[in-house]
Amino acid sequence: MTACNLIVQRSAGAAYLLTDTAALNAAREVSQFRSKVLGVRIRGKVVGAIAATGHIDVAYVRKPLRQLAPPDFATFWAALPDLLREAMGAHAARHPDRDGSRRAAMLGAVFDRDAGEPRGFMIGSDGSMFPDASYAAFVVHPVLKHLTDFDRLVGRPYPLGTDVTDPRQWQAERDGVRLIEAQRRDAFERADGSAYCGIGGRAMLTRVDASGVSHRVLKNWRGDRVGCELPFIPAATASLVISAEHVLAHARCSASRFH
Amino acid sequence: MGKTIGKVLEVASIAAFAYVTVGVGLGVAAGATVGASVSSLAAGIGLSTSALSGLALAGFADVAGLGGSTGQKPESTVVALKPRRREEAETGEPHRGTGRLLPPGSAAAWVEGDLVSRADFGRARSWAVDELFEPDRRALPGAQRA
Repeated sequence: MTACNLIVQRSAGAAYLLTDTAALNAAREVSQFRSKVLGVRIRGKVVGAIAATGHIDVAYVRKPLRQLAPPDFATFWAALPDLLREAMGAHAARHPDRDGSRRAAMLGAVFDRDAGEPRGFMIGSDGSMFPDASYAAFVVHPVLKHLTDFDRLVGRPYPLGTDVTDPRQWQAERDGVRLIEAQRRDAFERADGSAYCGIGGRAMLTRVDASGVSHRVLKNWRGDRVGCELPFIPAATASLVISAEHVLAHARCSASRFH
Repeated sequence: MGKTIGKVLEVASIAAFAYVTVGVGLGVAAGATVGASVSSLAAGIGLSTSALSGLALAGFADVAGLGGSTGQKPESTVVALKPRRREEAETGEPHRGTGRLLPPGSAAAWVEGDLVSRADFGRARSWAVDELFEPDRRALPGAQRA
């Protein structure tokens, strides 16, 4: 699972991707830490970035995108559906043990030099990342904002009613950590109902603007370990017993990694 | 004999007191740690789901439909007070199949299983979607609108 946030701030001339770096295996333990963001080149110049979530690894997009070497945006948009399909296929072939619906989505931002502004986009293998059925699968949709869900009741990362696309109200470099921390606290749930944390490693902020693409690590969750479940205290529903078990299990796992 | 029973009762009462104290303490501590989590506190002090449903009176309610496309529940049914994100891989449910809502001015008394008006539902759903998602109505550069 992934924190996969896209925020376009037109008045600031910048778009942001806020992602984590933890990749989980079927047991929901960290298998590795890696960037989930890939640069987009048009005519050889980096003009944007893509992040991926779901049953996909953005690394599988890198090679075909490099081979495609899109000369313009039109070629890039036209190629994205097949890039998503290919990446999902490669991921499924690599991880045949990961059963399920194999949903995936990519979101990203590019800087349109002609218009002098950043643009955001999303494409999904189905409509599950979108608010309703009007968003077709394997079609590139222009988007100004997509946030990974977080607990709306407690520990809100910003006041109710804040427009995160307005740089006067929300600044990625300043406020991004609180957003992704809230998302990290909002546990995912296995089919059996047990909770687990799906967001960890590092909080990476990718900025797309007229100067290109830059990355910044906003947060390093130093306690996260490969081979261990990500530690968390359930924010909403899990019992304290489960919390204690998670904390103890993580402590035991972390301790064993040092030996 | 009486002394022994008294001792046992004393030990048992101390153990029970410690159990309750630690339990509540952990509940408060964990609740505070995660940002005064209402539900963690509730879990810590043993509140039931039905008690949690009282939160709906404060305007908190969760509804099905955010994320759309399941088509399994009538849109006007409040299906859960505490929906969690289930893994779409394992359950087939949408990534954002449910959402926790604070619908301004509506759904003040929604509880699990309630039927609410479609207008209220639509308002709440729209509000919840807006916080997480905003489309861009303009075509992308070099592309026609899909």
